[in-house]
Amino acid sequence: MSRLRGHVSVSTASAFGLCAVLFLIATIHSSGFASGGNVRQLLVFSAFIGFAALGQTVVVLSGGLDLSVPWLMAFGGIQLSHWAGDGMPGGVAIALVVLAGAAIGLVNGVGVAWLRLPPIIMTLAMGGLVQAYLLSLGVLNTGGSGVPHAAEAAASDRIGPIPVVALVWLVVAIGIGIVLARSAAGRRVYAVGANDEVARLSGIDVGRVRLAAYALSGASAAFAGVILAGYVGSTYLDIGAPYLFASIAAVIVGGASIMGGRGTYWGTVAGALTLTVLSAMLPLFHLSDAGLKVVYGVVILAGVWLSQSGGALVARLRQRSSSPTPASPEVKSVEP
Amino acid sequence: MSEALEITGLRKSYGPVEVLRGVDLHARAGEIHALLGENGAGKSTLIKVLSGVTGAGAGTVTLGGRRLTLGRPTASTAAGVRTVFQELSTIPQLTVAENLLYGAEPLTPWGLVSGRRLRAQARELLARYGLARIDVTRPLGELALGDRQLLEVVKALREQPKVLVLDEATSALSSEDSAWVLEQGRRAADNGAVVLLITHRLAEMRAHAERLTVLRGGESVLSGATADFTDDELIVGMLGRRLEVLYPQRSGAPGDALLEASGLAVGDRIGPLDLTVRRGEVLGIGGLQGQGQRELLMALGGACGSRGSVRLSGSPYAASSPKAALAAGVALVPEDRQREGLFLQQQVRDNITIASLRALTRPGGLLDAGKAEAAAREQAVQVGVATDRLGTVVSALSGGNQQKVVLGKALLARPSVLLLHDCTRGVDVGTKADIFALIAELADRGVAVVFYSSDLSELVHVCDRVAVMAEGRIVGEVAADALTEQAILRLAVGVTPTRTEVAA
Repeated sequence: MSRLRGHVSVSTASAFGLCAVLFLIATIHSSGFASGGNVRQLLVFSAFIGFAALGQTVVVLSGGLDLSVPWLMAFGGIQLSHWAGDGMPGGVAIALVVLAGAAIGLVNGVGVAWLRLPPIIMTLAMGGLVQAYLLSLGVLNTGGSGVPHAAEAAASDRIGPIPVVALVWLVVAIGIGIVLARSAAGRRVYAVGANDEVARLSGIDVGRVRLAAYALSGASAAFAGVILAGYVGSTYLDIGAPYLFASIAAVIVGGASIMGGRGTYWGTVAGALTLTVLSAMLPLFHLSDAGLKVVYGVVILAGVWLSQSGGALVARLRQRSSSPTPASPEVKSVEP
Repeated sequence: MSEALEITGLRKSYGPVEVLRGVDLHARAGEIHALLGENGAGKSTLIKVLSGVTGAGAGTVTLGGRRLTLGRPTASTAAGVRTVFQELSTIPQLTVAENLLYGAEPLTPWGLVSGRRLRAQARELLARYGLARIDVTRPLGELALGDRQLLEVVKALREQPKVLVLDEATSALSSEDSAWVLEQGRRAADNGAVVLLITHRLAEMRAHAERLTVLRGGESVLSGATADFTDDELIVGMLGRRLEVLYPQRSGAPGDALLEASGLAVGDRIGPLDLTVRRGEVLGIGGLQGQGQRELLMALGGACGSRGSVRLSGSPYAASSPKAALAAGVALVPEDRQREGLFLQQQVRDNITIASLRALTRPGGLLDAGKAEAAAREQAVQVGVATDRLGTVVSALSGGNQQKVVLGKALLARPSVLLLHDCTRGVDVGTKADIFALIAELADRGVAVVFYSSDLSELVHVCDRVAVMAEGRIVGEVAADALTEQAILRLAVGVTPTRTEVAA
């Protein structure tokens, strides 16, 4: 069922387009930007945002917002170090951390779906609780040795020229893309985000959809924290801080509606790439710190405007052309 | 005779689509002028041009001899055009007084709003229109829908309009409230205003409008004195064809009991109710507006909590959620298609299939795209939505087609009990005929239909039997052989029939 693609694909395309344009500008400015090493680096950094924003995409599509993402990322790294420090095998610890992240996300879902707390408040409060828990662990500022080898391998291994993280990201993106566009579960997510009362009256268990979305967000943020910690080689409480903005901006730059009901994960992928390319290229232009932040903000706003209004514009044009009016006369080639 | 409102050669296009193709309308001061036409005929666009919400491609509008600047809401307002829409334009969080005097609040010498004078003026305004019973200090959102609609009318009348447009303003109202609105329309006309009345109820139009204009496909096709046209002529004018039957003949007789409710109650205001619907029966629910009909249908459809016991085909039926109801074969077409029935920004096909995803899913969780498409197509054909519209975003459809999509969604779930809440409200006569034919077809196939309508004549002609509600209870039933509008009304307002009528 590709019905939702219509104008969403325009948004996704415009986000990929913006990313390509930025990449081109950076490459023209300094040719090293397109080197294999740099592109690999960009893909890995994008994957961090991509995983942080994976569940966020589904939450936003269902009409919510998850502000606990950065704290779940910190949880992912720190809890992993903690358990690995206790002698748990790395692979098992990673799996358990992701499951624990899902459980924390589920609590977010309970607050939003059952207690009807506003998502912003519920997830912010949960971020605070997770932070408090991490402080109580007393394993902060763990050195590199604290992060298990499995996480480091996940973040830095390559298959041929391609980083494993990027490959895993690609596979997950294809999977989520299919689930959102072609499964009943995906259709329910869009329905809940578009209008939860209509969804309820159409026989959809709105609460269950919300629970699942927040649980997924908890799991994907925890996993993003694991690979980020593996890459950095150590963990600290604020490790996820930049991803509060990035996880939401990637979704919106990718063309999803912040009100829910419209968007795709491929859009988020494009958004994550755009954000990464942008923050990697700006230092090349020798801007002041302040100037850099201004340009960063302005380009992101432009990207959001492009993906949001561009899609709506095309949808309007399509809507017009789908009305029963004579199509514009086609130019016929003259027979020789 | 002065033509107070003259609309000449009005044209309007949205992109390549021409929605007004030369509309002429001449209305006199002091008359109620009906504007008739199917959904999509251009009435709404005409009103939008008149009230300045949108401009026009060509044509003129003159008001009392002065040409109106089009496309500017402020110009229309200054010229004295006031519109009462079917959709409410009031702000639910503000109080009644704040809404009534919105933009004209009395100020204290310091430039602040004087709450005391605001309330006093609002009370005075309401008293002038016989609505002193409404408490001006209550937030508007707490009032019943009918009262809110009446306040819209008061708001429009506040500044003695020169043109008062009643755009389906009575479609959601009970008969007394409708009568009140039309009486205010008459008063405005007597004060020299032009009143444009848009309604789908021909009887209402006949009773109140001296003259009329009929739109079809963006053109004015008939105009003149109401008395000069028969209903048939008007319907032919609106449809461009003769309507064979509005109310179809039914063949089957009701079978055995399918849905049996006993002691059904919602909250502490509605119920306890006992109700039985048979297979192949159309059970009407009548009564004045807001007597618990909504709660009854919502409770049976699992959309609101209820107590009591309900049996379906003899087994207990727990309507704990719409999901459970649909799984048991009970489908609800809710009251408000825009807010409760449709994903307005999604396509027709997605709206039709959303309540039946389980049946369209392959093992493994992915949707069977081919099956979904075929199901949507078949359903569109059954309810009479053109199949080339399957990919259209629902918000672009006319009200009648939107209602058909809601019906299609409910029917794709293959219900054995269909609950219809005022599904013909704001729907044109052609679509109504289609819906009635569909109801008859479903009943003949053994579906039990519960049909609530605010239109008495529909209840009489569509239903096998009508249960009448008042103050949350069923106060009586009118059987097929005694089914008249008077019989329903009498029960609704609590008048016991006289002895002779009982004998007859």
